[in-house]
Amino acid sequence: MSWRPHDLLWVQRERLLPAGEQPLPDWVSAGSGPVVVRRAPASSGLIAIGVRGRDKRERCAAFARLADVERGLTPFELCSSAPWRAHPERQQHPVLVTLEQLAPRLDARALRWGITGSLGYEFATGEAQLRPSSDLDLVIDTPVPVSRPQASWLLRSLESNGCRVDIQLETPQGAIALAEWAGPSRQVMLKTQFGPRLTDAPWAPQQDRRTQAC
Amino acid sequence: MDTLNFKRPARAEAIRPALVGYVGSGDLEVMIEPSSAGCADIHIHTSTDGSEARWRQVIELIESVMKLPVMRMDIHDFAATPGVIRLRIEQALELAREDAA
Repeated sequence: MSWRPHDLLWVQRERLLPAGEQPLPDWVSAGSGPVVVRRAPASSGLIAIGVRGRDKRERCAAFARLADVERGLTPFELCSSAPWRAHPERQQHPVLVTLEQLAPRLDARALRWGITGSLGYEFATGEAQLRPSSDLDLVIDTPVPVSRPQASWLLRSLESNGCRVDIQLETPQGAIALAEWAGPSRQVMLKTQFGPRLTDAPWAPQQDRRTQAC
Repeated sequence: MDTLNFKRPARAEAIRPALVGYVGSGDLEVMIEPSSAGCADIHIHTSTDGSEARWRQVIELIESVMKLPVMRMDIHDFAATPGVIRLRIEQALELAREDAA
């Protein structure tokens, strides 16, 4: 299984490796719950992950050994059982109300979509993560290019009067914000494994500069 | 939420208003407007508290490769990484200079 950014992985936290020179803070192994795949390169046999703590200040980058991954859950799998329908706050919390509005519209377009961010983590673990100010973070798997008019049409069809919604398109090269791709800016930011870059072709493989020079 | 202001030496040059970026976690919005302040007047609203030193570093890094224009720059930051911050600021500067020359 090759894991992708936003996937949740269950690993023994004591087995994680620090991403920098500093050792991992104590709260990492003291806590429990899955870790989140980060968009960053990793040496063979490792995967870049992030650990969530109790609040936003407790976030930590680390590496997991692929062999240590006990199980994983993708944002897309998370949606298949429509877990928001069983949430006690489904009629009150703006994030859940918005999700209830958008889910059928996304399904109607046969899009492969998923829930990321704090709500995804909450659905995966049952641990309360939503805060009054939480956004709804969604990802749409787009292996085939989405044209800019299509993006604009999709964005309009997903408008809601609920909370702020952050929709990322996952291309084979990285992720872009749907709203930016639908907007007027010629170049958009593509978040790749090797860092962010500006491009007007987020589905196209980056041309190797050495090859270009030949 | 922190508000920061940097006034940096700048070069008078023709620029036009520019807005780039995205309001979303890990990203930021950068707005540039012409100004008569005689400097690069940079206003930053950031969701990351205590990040002044990090912002100063990013600005100095950009200054090491280009002279900033006289402008007012407003930034709304949603916990972007230094790499994303630099990319967005350079994107905004490029756009501001693009048709203004």
